[in-house]
Amino acid sequence: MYFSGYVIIFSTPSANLHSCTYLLPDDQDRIIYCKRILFSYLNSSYLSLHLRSASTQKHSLMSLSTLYCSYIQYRVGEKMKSCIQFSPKLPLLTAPIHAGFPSPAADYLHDTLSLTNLLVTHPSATFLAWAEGNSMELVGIFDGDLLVVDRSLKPRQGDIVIASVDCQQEFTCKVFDLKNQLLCAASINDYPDISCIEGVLIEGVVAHSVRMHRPANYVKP
Amino acid sequence: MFALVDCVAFYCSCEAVFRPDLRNKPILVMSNNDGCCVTLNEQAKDLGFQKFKPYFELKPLIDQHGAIVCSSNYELYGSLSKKVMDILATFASDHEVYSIDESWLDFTGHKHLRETGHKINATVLSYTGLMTRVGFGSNKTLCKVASVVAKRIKKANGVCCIDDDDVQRRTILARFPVREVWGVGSKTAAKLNLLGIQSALDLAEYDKNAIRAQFGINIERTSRELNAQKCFSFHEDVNEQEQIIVSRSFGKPIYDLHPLQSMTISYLEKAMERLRASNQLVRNISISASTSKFSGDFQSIHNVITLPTHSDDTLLVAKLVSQGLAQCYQRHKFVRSMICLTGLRSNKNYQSDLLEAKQSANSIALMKVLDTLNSGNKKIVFLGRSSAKTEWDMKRLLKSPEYTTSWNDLPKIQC
Repeated sequence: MYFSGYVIIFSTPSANLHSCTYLLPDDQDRIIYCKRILFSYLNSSYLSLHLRSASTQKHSLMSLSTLYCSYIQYRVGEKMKSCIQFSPKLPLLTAPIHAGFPSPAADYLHDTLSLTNLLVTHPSATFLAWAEGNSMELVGIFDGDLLVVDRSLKPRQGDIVIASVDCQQEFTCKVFDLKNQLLCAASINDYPDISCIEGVLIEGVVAHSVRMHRPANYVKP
Repeated sequence: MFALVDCVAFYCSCEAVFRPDLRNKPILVMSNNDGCCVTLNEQAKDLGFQKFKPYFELKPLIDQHGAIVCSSNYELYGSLSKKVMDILATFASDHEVYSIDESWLDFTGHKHLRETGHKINATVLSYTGLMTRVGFGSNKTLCKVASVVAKRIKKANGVCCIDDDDVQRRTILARFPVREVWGVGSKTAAKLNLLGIQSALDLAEYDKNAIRAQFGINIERTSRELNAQKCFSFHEDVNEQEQIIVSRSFGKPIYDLHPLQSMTISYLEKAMERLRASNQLVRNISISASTSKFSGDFQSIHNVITLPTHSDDTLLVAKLVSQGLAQCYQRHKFVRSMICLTGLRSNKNYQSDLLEAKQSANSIALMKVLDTLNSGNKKIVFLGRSSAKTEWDMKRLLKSPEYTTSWNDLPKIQC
């Protein structure tokens, strides 16, 4: 069977074969609808692909409405050009969207902003960690915050650092007092300062920290 | 000049990166299914632990010294390895990843190599917490020698450079046993010893024609490289594997044909994925399954399948492998199975058989989709014959958290 258009494979986040459904374009509206979804996730060059509809088997979009998908998109019937984008959560709408005039913004699409680019300056020296405890609340680090730790930065006076203290199992996060060689808490409660002279190894500088005001994706509560 | 950089006790060091309390302790990393020890660090070696010994033999010594035992955490090792390789790549004009913890660097035209070497060690240590050793040499074989020397001799401080100084090269090679030379296997070494070749220097100075006649072109090249000639270049034979093997042991023994087929097919999927990644096609597939070597009665079954034409189609091969396994199946207590792809050839300029149908364009396209979906070691789309997640999957009971690849496993920091 020959047709040209998009083939989209929908699957649930747990993504195994049983939850995969092949959605083939069955009328112009549905294709345009698919196109709309792709519009927001792919760069503009894919929008100019010409779509011709050919009737194939019908699938109910309704039954897919609760599924979220990773999708693959390619043209069928020619030499395949495949392009893949994984979007962790892509909600499906059930109502068809009628397309009219092509988007004038299409030519102005650029890469989307990436938080990684903003927060990670040295990818090969950066690791992520969860903050636990409340000794750093006065500098804005709360229990459950995400810490972006850069091991390549040289600690300066007043930096927030990660250190291993006396070979304990877990790292400690404190404010670094370079002049007095101390690790200090930042809390209204009293926490003893830790001397850096012996048994302390600074492992990295907390370059950024991220608050989760709502539960984060992927993270089990 | 080239350099070989490799990480010191890589798996063990990875385990200690996010666990300060494990540093300076003896650490042993176990193989798949925690069967035997695959790597150990310096501290464990000093206590008398040995590599490749089964767990139950090491158990008394482990209890005695309180040694740390870890299952292989490939997620962690892979991610830290990538960081190290990315750092190394910034130092040289060209680089080639050689293994999970080794990389070749091309320093042609660079000066002050020793300083660079120390800088590499310091940077990798500070960025990742992992120790490295750097061996410089005018070719790959000498780099390997230098890196072993850098590791073994404390005075070298983690950097060894075999430069154009002939006296220095000969001194190092004279003390270097030939069996440890890169590319010389233990069998070859035994034969070389019979000819009176004990040290690397002996091999370097032996008659080249005689070496070639007896041991073939590759040992001749090795011998020439030890003489500071350049024979092995960068990015050589990277994709030209002669065979692809996927062999793993099961989490628990399998008796029946059906689960045996399904586990073996899942290994096949992995092998075919590697085959396509290296742009090759396969003709022959050998399948085998065996019982435990430690039980008294060792049994194995095997079968070889020849495809009508070279192919990289998982669907086609899986069907034949399933049949092939059924043909040779006998009921035993299987603990391991293996898939070996041989008769490989490049899919570029492939001339198909005149009488046999070529692999269809649809099949090629389908495989591409499969690989794209499953990229990054995910198992999103797989065959119905294969197994999703079963009770026979690998056991990794002592596995540390996936500190760098899973949100739930990120290190916790006391604030």
